[in-house]
Amino acid sequence: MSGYRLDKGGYIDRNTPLTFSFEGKQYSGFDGDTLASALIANGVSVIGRSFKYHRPRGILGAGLDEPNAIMQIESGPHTIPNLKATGIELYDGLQANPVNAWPSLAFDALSINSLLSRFIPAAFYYKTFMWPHWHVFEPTIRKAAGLGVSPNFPDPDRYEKRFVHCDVLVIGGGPAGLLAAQAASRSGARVIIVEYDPEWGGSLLNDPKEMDGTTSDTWIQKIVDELQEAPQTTVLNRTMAFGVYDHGLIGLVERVTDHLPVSSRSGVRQRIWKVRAAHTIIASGAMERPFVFPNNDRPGIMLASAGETYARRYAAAPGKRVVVVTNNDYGHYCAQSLQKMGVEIVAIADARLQKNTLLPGQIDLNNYPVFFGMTVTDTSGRHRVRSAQLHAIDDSGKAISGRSHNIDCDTILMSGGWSPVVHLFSQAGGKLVFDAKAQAFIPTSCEQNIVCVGAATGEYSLAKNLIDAAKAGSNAASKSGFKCGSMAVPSVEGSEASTVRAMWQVDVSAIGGSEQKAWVDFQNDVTASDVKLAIRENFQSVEHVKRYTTLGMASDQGKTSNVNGIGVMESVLKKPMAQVGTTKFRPPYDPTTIGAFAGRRVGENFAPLRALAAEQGHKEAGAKFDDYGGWKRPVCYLQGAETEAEAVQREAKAIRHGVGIFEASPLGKIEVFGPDAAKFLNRMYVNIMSTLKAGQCRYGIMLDENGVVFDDGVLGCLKENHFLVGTTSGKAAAIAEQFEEWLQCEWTDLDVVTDNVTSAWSIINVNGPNARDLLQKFDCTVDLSPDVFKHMQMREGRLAGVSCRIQRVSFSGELSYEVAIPWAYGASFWQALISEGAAFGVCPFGIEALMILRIEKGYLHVGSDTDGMTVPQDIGFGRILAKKKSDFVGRRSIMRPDAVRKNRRQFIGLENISDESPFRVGAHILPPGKVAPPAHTQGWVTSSVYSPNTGKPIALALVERGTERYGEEVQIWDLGESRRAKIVRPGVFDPEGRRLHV
Amino acid sequence: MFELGGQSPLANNNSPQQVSHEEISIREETSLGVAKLVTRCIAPKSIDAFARKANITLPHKTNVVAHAGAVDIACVAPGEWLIIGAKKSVENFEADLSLIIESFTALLLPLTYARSSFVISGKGARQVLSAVCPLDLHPTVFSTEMCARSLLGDVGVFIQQVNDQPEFRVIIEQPDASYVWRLLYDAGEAVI
Repeated sequence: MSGYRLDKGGYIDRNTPLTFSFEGKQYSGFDGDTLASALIANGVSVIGRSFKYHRPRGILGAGLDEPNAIMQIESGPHTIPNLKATGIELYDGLQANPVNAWPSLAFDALSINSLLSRFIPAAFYYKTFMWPHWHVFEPTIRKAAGLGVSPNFPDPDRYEKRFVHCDVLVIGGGPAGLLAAQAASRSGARVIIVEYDPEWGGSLLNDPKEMDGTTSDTWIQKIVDELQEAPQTTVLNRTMAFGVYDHGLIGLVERVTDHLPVSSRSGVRQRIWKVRAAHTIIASGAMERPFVFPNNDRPGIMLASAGETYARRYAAAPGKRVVVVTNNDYGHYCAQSLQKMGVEIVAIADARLQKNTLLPGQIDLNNYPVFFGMTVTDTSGRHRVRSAQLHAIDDSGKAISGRSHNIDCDTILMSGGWSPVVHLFSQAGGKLVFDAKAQAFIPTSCEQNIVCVGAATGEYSLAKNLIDAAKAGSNAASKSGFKCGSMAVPSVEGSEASTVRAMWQVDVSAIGGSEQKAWVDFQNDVTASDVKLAIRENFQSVEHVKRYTTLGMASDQGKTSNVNGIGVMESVLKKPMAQVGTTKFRPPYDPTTIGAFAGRRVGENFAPLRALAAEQGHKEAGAKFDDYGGWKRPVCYLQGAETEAEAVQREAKAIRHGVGIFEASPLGKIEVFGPDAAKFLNRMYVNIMSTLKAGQCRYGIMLDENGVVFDDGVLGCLKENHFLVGTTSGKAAAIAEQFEEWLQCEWTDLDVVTDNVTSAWSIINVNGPNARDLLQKFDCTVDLSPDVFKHMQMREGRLAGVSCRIQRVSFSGELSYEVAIPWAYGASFWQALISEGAAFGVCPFGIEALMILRIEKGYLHVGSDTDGMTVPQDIGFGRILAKKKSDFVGRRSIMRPDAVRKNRRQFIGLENISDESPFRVGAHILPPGKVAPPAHTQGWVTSSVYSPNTGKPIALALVERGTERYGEEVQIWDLGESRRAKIVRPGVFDPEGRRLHV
Repeated sequence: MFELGGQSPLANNNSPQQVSHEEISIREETSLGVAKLVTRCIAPKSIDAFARKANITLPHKTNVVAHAGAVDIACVAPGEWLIIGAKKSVENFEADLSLIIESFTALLLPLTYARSSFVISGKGARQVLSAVCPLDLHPTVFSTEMCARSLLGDVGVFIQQVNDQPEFRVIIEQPDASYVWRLLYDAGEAVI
């Protein structure tokens, strides 16, 4: 043995040496190492500081169970925080750093927390930092307790997603998973098998067996080869199943290039697979439990299975003088195995009495001292364990004073029994029960088509597990309709009988060790005394204890701690484990990169905006775009060096003096046709639509079932029984769905069809006194003369060779035509209007100018001037309601007492009499006699602009009894400023509407 | 006086207009005609009665495509069909049918100039689509003459398997065309 590297063995490639750095210091390793195994081989014992107390910590596990070795790797944009060293495949040039130590691992300033630990138990911060406010302290506490640091740069890596469906998904590439996949695959079913590790074989990699007369390595390779060759089977290593969701949806994350040096990576870094599996087989194995004894967190104390893994797979000795503490047979197998590989075992402490073990004859108890009926009760050492104190324990697990040994060692391997990995099964809604024989929570039934096989069931006999796995694979394929032949299960060598003694916490009260901390959850720094404190404070449910202490939370998800924590609860609550129960696990099983979840939804694909038909034309005209209800629309068109505000004012003025064009394509358009179409629309709208004649338009208000104003728009009658319903841009899809819902679910007697044709027609609004003159430049079959085609009418025809629908409606108060033509012609029509309109000084205008124009006219904008309480009476529709005798959606609700009370907020206009700047939207109207809060608000400003056409700021508002108070002066509380306004009728520009009818 | 011209929504896109590779080809199908027929006919008997009167073939089963002379008719939902074919063929179909459906509660909506179509073909076609669409397109589940409405990224699409090459047709609303093209192009590049 050179240092901690064993002279032979392991799956490492000794011909490919690699260099890497940890905390700036250079080390060497081999291809096939993990960062954890390479650190162990280099004798690095302290790899991090604990989360809260900043105690020195070493490596505890060898896989996803690792709670301590949390790393920040690489730097700059490629840095990744919070990776487990046990899952980082070593590559040349890897840079790794610990995450919770400052200024260095050896001297960590916050290790002072360890000295103060008795004053800072679980949840102390919630009780202590109450005054003046928790948020004052939160940043500092988070920084002190934090893990890694997110990069400050955009993520340079590429991620993608893949949707895939299969008949059988097998999670876990150990012996049971491989055999289940083989059985299913041979039937011809679509099978996917995934394994987190880069290597296949699971427990067989640490514990090789003779299988069917050959080595387990050969057996594994043969199955993997067969699966890879099967055309319907997908084989994914380096892939973790992180979540099980409803309806057979399982999330996988594949690490495609993480194992390569940064400079060698290309293409996708990680890929999320969204798998819809008809049947899922979980073969996720089991994780070993640590012991909960005082000072069980010193570097050099690790799980026995991890010690064996490092020696067997990576030829890295866990230590040079090893004590094994166990309560089951595995501790003995592990010790024997390590000794054969050249690791010195100085003692075994077995909590059981020898008569209660089933150790087979081949375990030679004379190789090293074995202390039956004893366990570890304390340890010493700072940066690495130096000795273990052993005490005899009585039947109840209490250490007995007097009978003790102090053993010098540099490593303690703990084998506290096994916990099946049931996280994914639990996420799927599967039920877990405590099994006394296995001393673990095991999976039982699940509503989804999910079963567990192998050690994940709590059964540790390989022979039995292989039989069950083959059966599970065949069953799953059969249920998917595939025929399965008989499956030969390999014979395996070795005895697998075992006993385990429950040891949830070593009781040291009789030997004076009660003051010492014994860790239950290493990652979250939760001790047995924290769990007891939570229970003393009456947090007795397992879910409450979890949240009080943080036991089993965050990225660790209780992998090594949950069952021990429940065991500690059992002893305090005097309730059996089965009654204490376990928490429900949630996805993700282990941290998953956010970039992988985002996939290709980045940049302009993050939240896709719909493009206007004439997008290029808008760009060429200088449009500044923004997101309006999911559409990318021009805010305004900038000319020269003008600001956005200047452009908006210019456009609003130009429309009233000449002609403007505005792309209104997103306006919702729904066709409604059938003998009962008018009857249907009567029921959907507050207004009466059945009197609408062909070629006429009518403004309509639509309510939801609570009587609240939901949408408005102009409805046009194309011909008898055929209507074109206009909606606001953001509501088109929702209203089309509502129409169908009412027709399909409630009014099945109505003979009506509807379809949302919003994106079939591009609309260009030609607006302003010269609108007609501009449109008449085009060859149009529709007669635009004012006597023939009046305000609130519509026509169909052809314009410049294509079909068109023209509505003479206006949201500006000017002569205005909304010209709809098939979408693909929108760009061409826009360009034609620009070129033909040059003679009229045509002005393209954006949404914000349109808002000014409609506020000048006092036109309501649903969503801006209404809220979730506005009923039609509030916005001036009382008379229409009174006239309408027939029923409509929301009618009953608007007759409730609250809807008809006298002091409702009503839609009015406001004139600023304080100064020349507009009120801020949201400013409050105060009651008479009040100039500042606190005061009951009488309403608020809903729309507010500076009107270039009246030369003053104007606003719209919802104000209590507003329509009874025209002319009244009111106080406005405007973000800390007290201002005055006069209540006026909405619509200060052309109140008679003369300009509409020219 | 002049005539207006129809324009592809990708006309001003900066990205390449097609992906062409041994394994995969993605292109815009500019010559496709599309129309939609929406009726109250949901029961097989009433569909048959309508089809007889209209002298057309209408598949009853959702997600099935039937050949009807020069056009394909895809049943996309109960009482809802998409008519797909060459522009002229679809226009002729529209003209013939519009005379007949007057007496029915039915809408015939010309969508040729409102929709965009992309064709994804080659061995890698399924892989491209699996990156952006949650449908199960495995040949044992989704074969030629099948279609479905689904999502592509975040937008609704119509997908049809045109042949066993395999070739898929994706029809989308024109305002979504640039976004869908970016996704398909990106997925195509990843496969290459």
